[in-house]
Amino acid sequence: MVAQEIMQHYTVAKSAQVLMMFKGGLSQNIVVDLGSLLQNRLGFDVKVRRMFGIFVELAQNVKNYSAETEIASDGTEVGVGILILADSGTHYSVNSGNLVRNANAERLKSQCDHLLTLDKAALKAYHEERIESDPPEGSKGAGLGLIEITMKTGGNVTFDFAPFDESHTFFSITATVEK
Amino acid sequence: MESLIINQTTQTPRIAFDAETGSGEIVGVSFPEHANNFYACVHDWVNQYFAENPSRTLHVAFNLNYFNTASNKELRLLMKFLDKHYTEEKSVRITWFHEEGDEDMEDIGKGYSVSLNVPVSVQVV
Repeated sequence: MVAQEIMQHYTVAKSAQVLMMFKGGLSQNIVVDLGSLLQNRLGFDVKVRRMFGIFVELAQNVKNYSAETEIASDGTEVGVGILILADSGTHYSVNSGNLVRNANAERLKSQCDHLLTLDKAALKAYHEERIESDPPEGSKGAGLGLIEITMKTGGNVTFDFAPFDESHTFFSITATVEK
Repeated sequence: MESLIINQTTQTPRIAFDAETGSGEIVGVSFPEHANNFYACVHDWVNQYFAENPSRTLHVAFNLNYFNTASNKELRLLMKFLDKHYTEEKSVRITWFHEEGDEDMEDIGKGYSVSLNVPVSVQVV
């Protein structure tokens, strides 16, 4: 029974060409450790760094904004979610998934939809505007992560939402970059 | 005045500012949890340097191969802060290093060389 279940996990991961997967609370220390693991596997050349940048933004997004939290070993409250890094041979794809409150999902969705309407020049202008302003209310970083991910992937990013329970929506981001 | 030395870690760059030589460098990667707290010490050191040495030059080298968005914002504030000293008649020079072929990092450096008054030399490592 156990072997069957684990084999299912294994088969799904193998067919999705998963290099690395993490599910749990993302403290800053875990983000750094996952980053080191990633560098140990792939090195740190220009292409890897571009993917690494996306990976860090996604990980810090989950850490800062997941509606599901736990207390990390250092005593801080951190977001829980899932991160998956896959290698298709020609591209890296980085996925994140975490819960958001239904009340915030609509706003987040319209923000994501807006980003996908912007071309390269408009994204750059929006990034410029945001980096010069104070972070948005409730933001724990610079409020630039989603913009940067959209820019770095050249728009090759999917924001998706699925109902989770009465009060939560599962929010996933898939970002793809050339190897 | 004392030098400012912070050793490199897996998430923060090496910071080394030396009043004797009038030079400083920020080297490595930057994605700390609180980027704003991290760079505050550089602002303080530069203020003290020019308070004590108003006519001397300060040459700052940025040699980073990765930083996250929150660090990007703090680095921009630091650049603007150095630019403010320059426009207040202080002698400041900046070198922005990037690896060959790292267009993202090169573009950021070139952006500074256009938008700031202080001379920013963009160079391949």
